[in-house]
Amino acid sequence: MSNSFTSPPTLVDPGRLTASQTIRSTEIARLSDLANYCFATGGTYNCISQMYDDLCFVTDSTSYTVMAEWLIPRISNEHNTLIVNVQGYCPTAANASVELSLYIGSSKYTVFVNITDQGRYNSSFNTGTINVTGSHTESEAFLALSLKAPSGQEAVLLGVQANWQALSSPLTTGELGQVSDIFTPQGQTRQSADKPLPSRWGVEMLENINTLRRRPRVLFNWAGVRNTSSASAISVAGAAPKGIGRGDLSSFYAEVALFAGMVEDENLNLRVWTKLRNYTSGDIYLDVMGNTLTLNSSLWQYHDIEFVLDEVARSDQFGLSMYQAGLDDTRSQINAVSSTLRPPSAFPYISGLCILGV
Amino acid sequence: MLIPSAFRKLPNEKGCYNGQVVMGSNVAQMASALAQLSHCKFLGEAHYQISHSTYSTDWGSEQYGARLHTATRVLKGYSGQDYHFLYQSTALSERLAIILVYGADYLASSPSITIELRDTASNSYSGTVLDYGIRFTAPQHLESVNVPFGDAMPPDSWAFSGTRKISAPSNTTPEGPRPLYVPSANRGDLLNIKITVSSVSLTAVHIYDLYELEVTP
Repeated sequence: MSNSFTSPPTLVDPGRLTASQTIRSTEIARLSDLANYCFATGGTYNCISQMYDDLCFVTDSTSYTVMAEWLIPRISNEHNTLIVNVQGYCPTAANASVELSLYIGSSKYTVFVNITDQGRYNSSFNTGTINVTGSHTESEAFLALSLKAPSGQEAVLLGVQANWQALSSPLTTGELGQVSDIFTPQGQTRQSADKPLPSRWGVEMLENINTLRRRPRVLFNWAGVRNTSSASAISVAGAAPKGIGRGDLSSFYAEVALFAGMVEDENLNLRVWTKLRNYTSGDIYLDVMGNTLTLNSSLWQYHDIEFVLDEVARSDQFGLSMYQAGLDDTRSQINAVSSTLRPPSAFPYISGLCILGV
Repeated sequence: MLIPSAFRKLPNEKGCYNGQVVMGSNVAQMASALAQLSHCKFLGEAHYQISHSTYSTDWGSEQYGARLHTATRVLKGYSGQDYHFLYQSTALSERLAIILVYGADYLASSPSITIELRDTASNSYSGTVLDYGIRFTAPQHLESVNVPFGDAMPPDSWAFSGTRKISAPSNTTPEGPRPLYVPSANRGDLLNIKITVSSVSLTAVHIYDLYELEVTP
């Protein structure tokens, strides 16, 4: 079938790719299959992963109020279905509800999800599927989550997980976009025996590989929670973190693999997105992965950073070069993150952080 | 086939032009680069941060930090408490390594973390158990620190499942730390990693597909 792929994919036999071996159609077909598989499925694992302890993320509002906002990368212009799984409950009544709004450029796509559980992890989580119907070439999207409770009740959120849905086989025909890059799916019927191996295949395959190397990976993604409300005292409910605090710094990172060769291509970047709230003016200096970023906007802001870190010890166990992707635990961070000296009520605070790699 | 972990240099495009001899090395480089993408770069991962109540009698309703002060607060309610971490696996998710960031209450008799893998059929939290999983206990696998401030406030500690290349396990009760095993029928599915804590406060859970240096085509 044209542009099809197998999952899990099949690799080529390296013994068939050495000098003096005939280049068989089998190897070319498998490489085409593998490239199609990578485009369809690469980066479709979690792009949002966040969990809340009981009664932290809570509202008694009966109208939708935005409570959290994440930045997520678009992995291609063709991956247009975002699956969002919401874990929550409403203690005494069903039908607490979540509004999920995905912003891409000036477009907004919204779905509503009813929370069916009436107790913490009582029975099942609930899924919202956001279908992007327009054509977009933006590299990022923003997901806003609003929550409302039935009258006189309270709704509690326990977790949010999201991922782009993988494309199914076969891929659509023609050039496929990934922001401004191109991926050309490879038709299997063109790779069979007795068909020529054209120059086109080699040129397109190289471009396809470069396109896929640029596809972003989510290394770290976190959003604070605002507008919590509860009839209970804040000592009991509603004290979810709005912003990153000083006490977070010792472990507010993920150990992630980054790949050698990244620094040799200017198109392979580490990008850090931040969101400040309660910001009015001035510069705030935030240390991320050995770089000092200047934050000076109330909008989502990004910085492409240098790759300057040393490997972590766990690299040996993973067999990959692993690094800390997150905030640095430096003394100067006391002037950037929230603390008793910089409470969120009176100072700017960091309510969103997303680190993207390749 | 050896799976490279680096973005190695690709062959010159001109080597693919009309009139050029097709070299096996060009095709081999493309095969290597694609294997890096499918079996290394695009392996799945998820990095959960767990937000706890920021309330403090010292600063009341100021809400910052995923944890309290400079330490992880272990509430008395964290006894046999479950969490369900959803993980969108890939077709190559055979074994899952887990890194935990936590604080354990020294004063409690037996801090532990138990991890189990379930499917998510019908979005249920009580799906079929795919791997009866592993248990971290103190003092063998977990650190616990005595900080006598009422609710315990130990510093962050890290625990790790390791990355051993295991076969399908046959245990029916949790055993010592090792990667979780995903049956072939469930690879690519949304999975539920159920974690039960006892006298432990979780602040982060990191989940990884494991890289293999060599894969048989």
